[in-house]
Amino acid sequence: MNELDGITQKVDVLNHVPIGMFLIRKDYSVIFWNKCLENWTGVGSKDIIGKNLGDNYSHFKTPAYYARLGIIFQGGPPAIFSSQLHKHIIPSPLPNGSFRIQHTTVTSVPSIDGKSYYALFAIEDVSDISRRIQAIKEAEKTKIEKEKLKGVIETAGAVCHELNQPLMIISALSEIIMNQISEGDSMYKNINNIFKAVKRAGATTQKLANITRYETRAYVSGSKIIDIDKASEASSIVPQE
Amino acid sequence: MITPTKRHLNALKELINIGTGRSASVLNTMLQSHIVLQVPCVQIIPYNDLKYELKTLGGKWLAAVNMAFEGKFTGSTQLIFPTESASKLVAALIGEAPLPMDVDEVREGTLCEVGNIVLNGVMGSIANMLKLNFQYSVPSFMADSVDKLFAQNDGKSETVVLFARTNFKVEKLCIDGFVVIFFEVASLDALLNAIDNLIKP
Repeated sequence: MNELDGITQKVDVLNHVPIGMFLIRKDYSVIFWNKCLENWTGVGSKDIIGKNLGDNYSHFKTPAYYARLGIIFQGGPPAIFSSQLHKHIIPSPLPNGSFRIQHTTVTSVPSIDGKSYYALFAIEDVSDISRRIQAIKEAEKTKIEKEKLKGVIETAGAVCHELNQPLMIISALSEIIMNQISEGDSMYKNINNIFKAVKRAGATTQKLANITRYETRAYVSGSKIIDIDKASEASSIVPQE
Repeated sequence: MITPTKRHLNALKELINIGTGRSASVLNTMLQSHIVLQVPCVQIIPYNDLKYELKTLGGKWLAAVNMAFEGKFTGSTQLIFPTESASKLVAALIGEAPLPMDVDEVREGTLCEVGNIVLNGVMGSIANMLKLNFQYSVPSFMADSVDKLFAQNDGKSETVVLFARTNFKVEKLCIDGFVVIFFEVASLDALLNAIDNLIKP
């Protein structure tokens, strides 16, 4: 019985597991490629067995993989390739065009002749978990933005309330004074400037009252302040009570 | 039980330093970021002292990657972080803001991989230098209080611990971690004998 026949008999049960599994020799030639991987990748076992893994998946030729797999071929401890740092060790497209996110464990397996070690790859599809985690992260981000926005709106409302009344008084008194003096009066220009400044301040308090989202802009010394113009534009984020 | 001498501890520190140096090199290549791993001290302590050390140095809540081994001597090895440090380390490695550990199970995979690289370096160095063969379990991740994390060892008075404090320097961060190897007394004797064979004149 040759090596490949021996392997096929020994690991046939791995064709029935719902995780991607393959086996390579020290020279990176593939000696087993399970049905699950055939389904995920569209690469049949007949097309890849006997070939160098790096020819199909070139990242296996990089030092990052060589260093870690080298230990496996010496019978060393298992190696983990996490989904966060590697995303997909064997790219496997999904119907929507994205790739399966994979968590991979590589273990050392004694060779048929007992003189060396193979590397056995077990690849779990963690796409669903990753998407759920992403959804949690986005929900967390939205929650934080809503909490910040709620604080901004409450502060802005209080500022508007406190400023509007004195602004109205200044505005009304400025108008009364301007009506009582002629345009040629030396005071008229100054009073008119006060009136215009109060109108601008009033427009700003109106914008504060219209804040609907959390937007900031750079300020001095690397700090940030609320960007009143952007924050008061129409937005889909509405704070919840 | 053989009493560890200063020469044993120096040899162990060197073995662990060689291992963490290799691990840092792998992490640097893989993540393309500058990571320095230092081991400032190595101690052999009774198991009962471990919890006190970890509570003092690491706080009440810890994250750990665990890998068991069997061979001429048997035990398990762990890379342990205070949970906040673990979160910061993952954030530094993957470039995201830290989130609480309990809402981010996928980050366990990242920590598991980092722990795997560090523990493989340490155990690989011990196995290679002492010319020993081991069989290993697949690394697993745990996050819990100090008391619950090591509950399985409670009552085993024969357990001794090789305790090495490590510093991960990633970019501007300096993150504390601890490499801990649990042995039965007989296994520690076997380790110290193997070191004696290595360093005998």
